[in-house]
Amino acid sequence: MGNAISSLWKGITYKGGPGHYAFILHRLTGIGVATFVTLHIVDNFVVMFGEDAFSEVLNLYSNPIMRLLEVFLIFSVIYHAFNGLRVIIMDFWAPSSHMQQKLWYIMWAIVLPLSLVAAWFTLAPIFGL
Amino acid sequence: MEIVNKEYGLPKEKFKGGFETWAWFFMRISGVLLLLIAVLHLLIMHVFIRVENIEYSTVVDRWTGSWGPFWKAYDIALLVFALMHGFNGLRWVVDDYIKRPGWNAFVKALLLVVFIIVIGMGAYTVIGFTG
Repeated sequence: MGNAISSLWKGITYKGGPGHYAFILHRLTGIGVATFVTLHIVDNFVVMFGEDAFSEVLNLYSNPIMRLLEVFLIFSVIYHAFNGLRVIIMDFWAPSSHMQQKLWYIMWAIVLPLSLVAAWFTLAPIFGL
Repeated sequence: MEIVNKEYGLPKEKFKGGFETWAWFFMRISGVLLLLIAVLHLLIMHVFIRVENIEYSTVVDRWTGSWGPFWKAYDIALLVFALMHGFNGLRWVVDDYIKRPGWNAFVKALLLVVFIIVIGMGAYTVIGFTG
């Protein structure tokens, strides 16, 4: 346990600049999405027990706290997808640091607007919009 | 395949294969695929249909309607690729932070058990659902 904490701490405090933050966020969003996908498969399994049981599960997802978590989920998937694409491009085609910096900004230029639009669609119904 | 890094003058490496190299390669391939099918899944469920409108009948229409076989195949692909990508990612996280051999093997075995159970539950749901 102590070892795990110290290797985790080294991973967080390493001063690697934007690429390092991108990596940490990639990890966190990856773990988050993998956890949700696992839960999501279990909750979908309930559909096999009929309409009433499944409706109860669906009700869990409609409360405001879950809607907020839904925004995090959507951001996580979008960030993980486009940051992953950035990593793939760097792996195969763009080794220069100049290109890497550009890719970092392009990635956010895609991820932020998409996340904001998705957040609007998700949260607006809570406020009756 | 050749991985070339001209900028830093690193030696060219030939693609040699082996489990970890294939796992690395699989993450790139499945990642691009998931960028398409997982993001589209999100767009359909969260923006076009919206989560608050999803009901039992939504699932019935999706899996038993005239496009049923297409959506079942789509969801099986999503299930298999998302879980393989996700659990391989978790395996890498475990390898990075849990260094003690016993614990490392134990947590990874646990991940494998969860992976098998969940992929089984998912496949049973998608394939077995008749409405």
